Amino acid sequence: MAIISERRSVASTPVAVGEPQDRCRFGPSFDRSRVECPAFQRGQFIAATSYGKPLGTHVACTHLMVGELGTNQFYPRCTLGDQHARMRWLANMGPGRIEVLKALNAEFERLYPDSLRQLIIAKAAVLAAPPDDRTARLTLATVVRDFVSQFTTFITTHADRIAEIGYAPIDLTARAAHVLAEWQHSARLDLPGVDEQSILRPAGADAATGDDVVATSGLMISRTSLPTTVTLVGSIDESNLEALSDALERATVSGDVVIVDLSAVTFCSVAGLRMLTATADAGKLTLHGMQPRLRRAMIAAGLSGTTPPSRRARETSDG
Amino acid sequence: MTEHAATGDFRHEALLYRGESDFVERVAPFILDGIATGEPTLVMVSSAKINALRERMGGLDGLVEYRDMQTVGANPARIIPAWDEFAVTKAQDGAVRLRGVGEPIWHGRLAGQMEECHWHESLINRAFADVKGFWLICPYDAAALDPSVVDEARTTHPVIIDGDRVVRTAQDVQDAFPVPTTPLAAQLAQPDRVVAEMSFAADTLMELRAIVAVEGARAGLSPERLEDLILAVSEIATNSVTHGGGRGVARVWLDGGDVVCEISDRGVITDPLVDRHRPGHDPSSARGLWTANQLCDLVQVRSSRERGSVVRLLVHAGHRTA
Repeated sequence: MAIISERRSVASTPVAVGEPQDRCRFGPSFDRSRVECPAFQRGQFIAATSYGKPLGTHVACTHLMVGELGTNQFYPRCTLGDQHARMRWLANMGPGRIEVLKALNAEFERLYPDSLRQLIIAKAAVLAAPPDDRTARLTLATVVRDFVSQFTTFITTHADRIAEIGYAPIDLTARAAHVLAEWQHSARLDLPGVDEQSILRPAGADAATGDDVVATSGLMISRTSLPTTVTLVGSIDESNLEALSDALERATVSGDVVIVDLSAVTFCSVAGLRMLTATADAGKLTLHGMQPRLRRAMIAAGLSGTTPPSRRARETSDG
Repeated sequence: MTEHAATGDFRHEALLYRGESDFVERVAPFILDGIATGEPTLVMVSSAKINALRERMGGLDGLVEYRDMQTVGANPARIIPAWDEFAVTKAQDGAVRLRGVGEPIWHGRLAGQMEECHWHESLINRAFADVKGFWLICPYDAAALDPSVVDEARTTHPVIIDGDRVVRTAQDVQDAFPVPTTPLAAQLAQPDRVVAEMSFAADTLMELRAIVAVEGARAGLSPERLEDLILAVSEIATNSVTHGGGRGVARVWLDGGDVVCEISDRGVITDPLVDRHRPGHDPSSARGLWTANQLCDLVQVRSSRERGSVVRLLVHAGHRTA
């Protein structure tokens, strides 16, 4: 369950006016950089030459595809769309279902580590072979059939969890078979992801039942009750601090101590940390799942531990 | 050493020495005098020099504290807060006289860091002008440093001690060393090749962080140092959004093995000590530049009414001999 696509070199790219809105800013080398994108779904990226020689496996995002700008101009395209579309996808999925999806992806990768690679190699051999060579085509057909069979077994085994996140297992396998058959006969080496939005699409408006979800710029805030828990997915910065502050205000209005789950927070500004810790210090909420990177940020900003005395401490400034 | 000034004013003196044994012979008596008179002393030099000094003093430690300047002063903007913390803590304990030995300038520092060290030495005159009874000496290795670096010391220290010669470059700290504004308004050298550039506002801070993440990883920053740079860039860019006209321009480039990110905006900074203030407990207290200074190996701030403000953040990608 991962997207694979032919490796295209993507040059260092200053942001220019008129660029596609669905350009992915976070990759394509996700194994070398941290990923702040809240919609990031880990998957494998198998690079291969057009002669079928594998160039290696990289960490990629299942939403990442090759986009075309024009003749021989390519860019990393997010199949979800622009930032707003990513947030809509997150809001529709809800944090619980995203966790299930991530776990399923990892499980499939663990069970069938080589199947995606074999697909790419077989397809590359077809593309490189002369048109009248039937051997390569037969091999590809076998590999595709095996893959569909593995995928169907996997989906059937995990039918309950897949149903839990709002997908019908039978639709899923049918769609995967259809997409792969199309790909098998196409001239493309890159394979559409079998769990991309077009296949594993959220099932309608009741997708996030029970969750009170706010998807603001770069941050999904969802609330569940008993006990009141606010789950944050994404990054906290100047663009959504006010929305977060409002949401926490609403959640704590009843006087209950609210649990704030920070385990899926990929970035938090110093102002965000200050707001969260100040509200926690006031006894209104408890912070769970704070990651080491956020703790390090608090130390650097002088927000944790004892603040040494200073003549130069100022209480307000523009610094 | 010169005799104690009767007034007890802040004393900021450069001490020229030649080689490590000369360093020990000249600095140890200063520390021993402080031990004899019961003055709290903070020594911030390299760890090798700390070891040599302690050995020379044979277990006499008195009220002497040591800190490794290559850690504290890796980014020169962190040194004034360290002296400040020392001065305030000891004053609270009732000390009326304090001694300090600080060597932020050593052979092999990056040009940008050397530039900021001179700026730092000149800011010291302002930062501690009103701290009575504080005697700070700054050793300069005249044998290893470029003569032009030693010459800079003459413009930032009211007193130069060179062998047995004591040269008083000014009678009064305040008069001879008026608040230096030139470095704040000066222009920084332009990079050869910018690898990424974008204009940002509040709603594109995440994109800016993504660009820094990709370029920093490409340059080989370790995951932790990359986190540091991303947070520093994001905080400085947030300053542009909240105080610098709502937007700014970011540029990223490589300098040798180091990653540099520059944020510029239309805001104007007038306080030369702007990034040396430790933030207070008040939650509204600003922390952007302070945080960046704790995270980066070099932070350069330049500002003028004509050109607005520029903040350059540098993180070493690999280990280099410094």
